[in-house]
Amino acid sequence: MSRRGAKPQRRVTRWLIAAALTLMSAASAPALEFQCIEPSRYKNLLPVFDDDPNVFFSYFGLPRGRLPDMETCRSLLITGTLATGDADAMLERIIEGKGWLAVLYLSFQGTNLEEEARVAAIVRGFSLKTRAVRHAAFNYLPDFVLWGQPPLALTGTSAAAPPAREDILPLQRGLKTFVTRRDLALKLERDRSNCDESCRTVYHAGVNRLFNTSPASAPAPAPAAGNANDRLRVALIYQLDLNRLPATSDPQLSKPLGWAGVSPPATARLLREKCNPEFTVAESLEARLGDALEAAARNNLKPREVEALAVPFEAMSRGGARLQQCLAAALEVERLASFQRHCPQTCDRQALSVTFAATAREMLERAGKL
Amino acid sequence: MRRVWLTILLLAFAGCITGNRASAIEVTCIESSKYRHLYQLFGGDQKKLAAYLQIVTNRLPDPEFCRAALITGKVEPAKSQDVNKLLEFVVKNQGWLAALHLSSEGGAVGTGYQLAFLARVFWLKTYTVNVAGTALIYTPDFFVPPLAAPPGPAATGTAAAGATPEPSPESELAQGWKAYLAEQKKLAPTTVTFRACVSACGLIHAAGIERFGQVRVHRSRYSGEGALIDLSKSMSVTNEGLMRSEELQVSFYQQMDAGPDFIRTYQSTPPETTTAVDVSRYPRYVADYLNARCNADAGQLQRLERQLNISISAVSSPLFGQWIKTDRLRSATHKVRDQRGKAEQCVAAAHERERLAAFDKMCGGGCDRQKLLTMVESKVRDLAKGSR
Repeated sequence: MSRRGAKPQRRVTRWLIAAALTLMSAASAPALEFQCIEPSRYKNLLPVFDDDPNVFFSYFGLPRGRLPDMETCRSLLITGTLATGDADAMLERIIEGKGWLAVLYLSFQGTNLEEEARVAAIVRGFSLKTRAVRHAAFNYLPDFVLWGQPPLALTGTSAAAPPAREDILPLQRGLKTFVTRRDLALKLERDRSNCDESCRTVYHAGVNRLFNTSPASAPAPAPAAGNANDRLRVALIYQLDLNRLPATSDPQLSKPLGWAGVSPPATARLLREKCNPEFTVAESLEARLGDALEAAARNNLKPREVEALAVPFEAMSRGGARLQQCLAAALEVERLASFQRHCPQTCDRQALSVTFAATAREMLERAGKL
Repeated sequence: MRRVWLTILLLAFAGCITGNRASAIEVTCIESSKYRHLYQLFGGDQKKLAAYLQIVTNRLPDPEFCRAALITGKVEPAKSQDVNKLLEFVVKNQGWLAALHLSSEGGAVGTGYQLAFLARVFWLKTYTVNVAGTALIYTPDFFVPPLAAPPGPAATGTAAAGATPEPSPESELAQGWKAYLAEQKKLAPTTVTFRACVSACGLIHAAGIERFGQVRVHRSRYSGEGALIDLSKSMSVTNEGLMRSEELQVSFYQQMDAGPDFIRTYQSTPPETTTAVDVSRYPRYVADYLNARCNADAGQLQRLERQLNISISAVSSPLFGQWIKTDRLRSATHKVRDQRGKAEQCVAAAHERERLAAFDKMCGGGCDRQKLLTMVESKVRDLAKGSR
């Protein structure tokens, strides 16, 4: 080998080592990982709607239009460790989803106040739902319909129970098949499956917030230790939820963030307003069924008395289903409208990033003054 | 006669050849079903158990007897002694064994029939195992746990100061239930790795005099090594053999009165898969008898209670963040449970008498195991005869 050829070869080797080191450091830098929850791709959810676009649009109370891209994910699992730049990565995922990304399953670690405030502002801004992972056993289920047993028939005797009614709840048939999928369990690490610190703030930013609970036999997870950031986080959530700061004497400020109610106040108001007729009917049906049950109980719940309850039960089931559908639709319409507000024609990722960063900075500054 | 034996041979063709001969069923006592623990439900007073089940106090179970057995593993052909294991367990518990909790992938159909007839002649109840994680959840078969106190003056602490509430049977049962649960917690959990009752296990399940939980069924198949159909046989032989096996099985399910839905599902499920199906709680005429005797339909009340819970969940689920109040339905749940508790107690007492009488009939002067095995085999033969 000539010495003339050795120099460029060394340069190439040095360059390759440098590149490898850069890549390695990039790979090991903490960052969030966004994974599509496979069953939540719209192609996999469509069977829940009987593969019928009309059912899809009517269930959500949407005008007929373009269906979401079938490969789009309705839900993402977020793991890893929060780091600078993750808010932009989050934004990117939302833009990719074109408004059809609806739910974030949160199981990430770390504290980064600025970044968490930005991610929280984005989550609330786009009206996303959040699910906090508090235990490694978490199954994905659609967020827009309640999976429960179909109403039972009350006719017949112990000897011959007629089959359960599946014609009352919309989506029941499709959902029944969906829940038999074998890939519904989220891929979670047993010892890194919790949502504390920054993750807790992002959880609170959701417009519909749920978490999983440990099985009865498992020990309850230890509560998050209080730290200096708790006060700041409570103040952040106050601003997201109530658009104001808490009073300096507010006892909440001295506690770590708990597990808030499912709906922030504004969402609760919106749902009550949009579904007011359905709420009224469901409440009335509950009273009517209560009366019928009381009358049957006075007659010792004899078989004929129980059979007669089938009618008010069916009405109650239908009323409950209509209420659920209305609530699901209201949340869907709100999320799509939020996306439309931020991305009227196209999404300007840069501008959105700047806007949300400014919102987050302002919230943090105000919270810091408490 | 030749036809009968041909059918028995076809049984072997359609079900007795199994792939895995390493394991057979295991019959074990469910520790928390031992009578010494069950007495806790009645404050440790054996006489109260007798009064609850309306049985005479001079015949009470030994505290170490088991009320429920867990059956696990694969049902194996005759030589593996599966039938003897169950028979031995029944005999050992002197008529006080009341329920079988089933956790089995199935296996040999011929043995399945024998186990099933054994369960029926000794008037046993059957359950598909109820499991949390890998721990068996056992609830006594004769007892409906009372619900926590309904919202009301007593529960909200507005009762007059110093007033002592009157003891009621309901509150005694609630205390007993608490004591029993505390006792259960001290025991090592019973581990169950297979959470279903599949295929030939369904024969045992269907033979229960009271049946709870789903069974996974499929229509007849050749269960040879790694194959559902024996392709070395001709199509006509296969069709004839499996049709005859099906006739036999349908005839068995009819005899056990598993319900038309059960039979329909069995017949329509292809051999390479299984479908979950409910077995009706009682055979029809047993239901009619119990309804007349107890002046209530316990199964219907059980469904009513389930329906109430479904309705409450549907309108109070946290999924969407907003729900309606369901105070009236919750209050009704307590009334239904109360009524059902009485009906279930009446049903349990009727079964208790019948089961003890069945044991006395079979084993009055001591159990002759060989005679009992011969009787069970003859019931399988009668079934084959009857199905033609």
